[in-house]
Amino acid sequence: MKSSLIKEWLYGLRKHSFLILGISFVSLSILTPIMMYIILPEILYQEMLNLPLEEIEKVLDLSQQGVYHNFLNDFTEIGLLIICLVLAKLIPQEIKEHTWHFPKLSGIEVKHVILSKWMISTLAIMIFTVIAFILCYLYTGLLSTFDLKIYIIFRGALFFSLFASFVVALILWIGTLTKNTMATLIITYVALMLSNTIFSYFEMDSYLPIGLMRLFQTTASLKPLDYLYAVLSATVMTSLLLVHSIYRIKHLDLITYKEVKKHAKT
Amino acid sequence: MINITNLFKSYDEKCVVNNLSFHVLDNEIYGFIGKNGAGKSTTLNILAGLLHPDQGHIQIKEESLVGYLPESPSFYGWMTPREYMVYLSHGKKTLSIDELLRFVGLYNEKDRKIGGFSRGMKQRLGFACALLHDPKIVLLDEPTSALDPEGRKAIIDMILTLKKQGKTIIFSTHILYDVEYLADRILMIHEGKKMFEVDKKTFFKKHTSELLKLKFSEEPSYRHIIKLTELIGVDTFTHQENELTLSLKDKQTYFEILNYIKQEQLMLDGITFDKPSLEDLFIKEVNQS
Repeated sequence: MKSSLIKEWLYGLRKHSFLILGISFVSLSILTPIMMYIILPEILYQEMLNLPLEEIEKVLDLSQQGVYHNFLNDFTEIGLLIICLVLAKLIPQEIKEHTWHFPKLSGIEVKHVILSKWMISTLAIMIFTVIAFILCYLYTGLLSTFDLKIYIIFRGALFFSLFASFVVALILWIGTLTKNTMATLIITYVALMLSNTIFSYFEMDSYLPIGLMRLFQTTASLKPLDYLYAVLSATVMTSLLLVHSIYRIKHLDLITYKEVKKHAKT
Repeated sequence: MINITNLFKSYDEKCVVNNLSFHVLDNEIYGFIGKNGAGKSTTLNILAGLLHPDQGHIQIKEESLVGYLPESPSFYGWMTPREYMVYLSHGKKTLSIDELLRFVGLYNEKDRKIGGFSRGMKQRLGFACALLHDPKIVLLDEPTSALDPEGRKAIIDMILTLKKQGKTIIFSTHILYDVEYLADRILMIHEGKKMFEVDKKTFFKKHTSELLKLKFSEEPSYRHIIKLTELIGVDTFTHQENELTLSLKDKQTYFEILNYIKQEQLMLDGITFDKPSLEDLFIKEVNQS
């Protein structure tokens, strides 16, 4: 397991996955406050010349909480898209490029390969989420006032990380089914966004992992029952997706007929 | 060492390996030959455990580790050979990585990224990876194809060294020279089926002096060629200008041919006996099938 974890860590560093995640998350945490405090009031002021700047600021809700909410909205949509973009190739690329042949022949267990991918990706997302959330908190606090409690930031980052761990497991699972990077990316992102809309409409989201998307945006205090079902369902579904991904890869022919035909032609 | 019985593998409706049975002895070099798409790689992939057979039984001697070098070995291009082999060893006891890299001639490249390696270097690294866990059985899929002569010679030498170390080697190739040179026994596969299995020693012993090459002073007439090739003991023939090559079933036919030449007063520049190459047998079998 240790060697698989090191390998995934090196992959993240050398193939710049961590760099892309880090820069994107940090950019979001800085750009949202800049947009809210500087660019947007300026645009509105130029568009609506009669309106004084104080009125515009009231309309925009430029309190720390208001800007932080905007950041979380952006983070949900753009952050998830970036996660899908960076991680969609994790499984399909290995299958396509046959890079699993030697590890499999060397006796490296499939469960170690899958779990290390999941653990390292989740850990990286968790680290960059915490950094992004704290940066946003500090930046918005400096530009206005610190009216949010710091524990809410950590709680939000924790909920998002838990949700991200489910998303990573989902990406890995869809990757084992489609074996195609683009299909994995589109299916995962569309499924997440659609299920968020549908289950929120029917008020079922608090019983599902998707409920964590609402929970990490909440700045109000929460009782355990408010997040219990979402956390439990996310944990159970993440485990199920990982177990099924391991099963799929274990029973997968690592060479397809298409490749056999291509080889025969050459 | 290895017993394979009634092996089947299909993709959709297409049968790639069709009722294949063979056995490989301890410390022998066993060569697979066949055209591209004959089922050689699929058989090796099944033996290595990368593909699941539809039917059949594979029996490998107890506690025998299997090392495998695929035809186009794939690596993580962002890793160095050393890092990659440490990853593959995953904390288990293996042969010394530095020694293996020295054996395949990549020791000086151990800290270079694999992504920048040539095909030959990747093949060598694949060889080292296949040997990492000190396997008793080594499977090599087209180990010398697409290599320059120097790279080919290096791989051939490595295979011979492995045999000296007591390992059992199964390799596939369509380069018949390699299989003739290396293999103790040869299995020909065509469209997933076993065509023939020969012991190299008995094969060449049996076929010595069966190929008669006649070099005439001038090109023989069509009538003479027909007469000579219609003799009962003549199996197959090839004709090229003044040369007529006859594959004989027995030595008695040789005297009949000489009598005919004498009788018809045909002038000969030379008579030579040649042993048929594996290529002759291969072409004959493929044509017949």
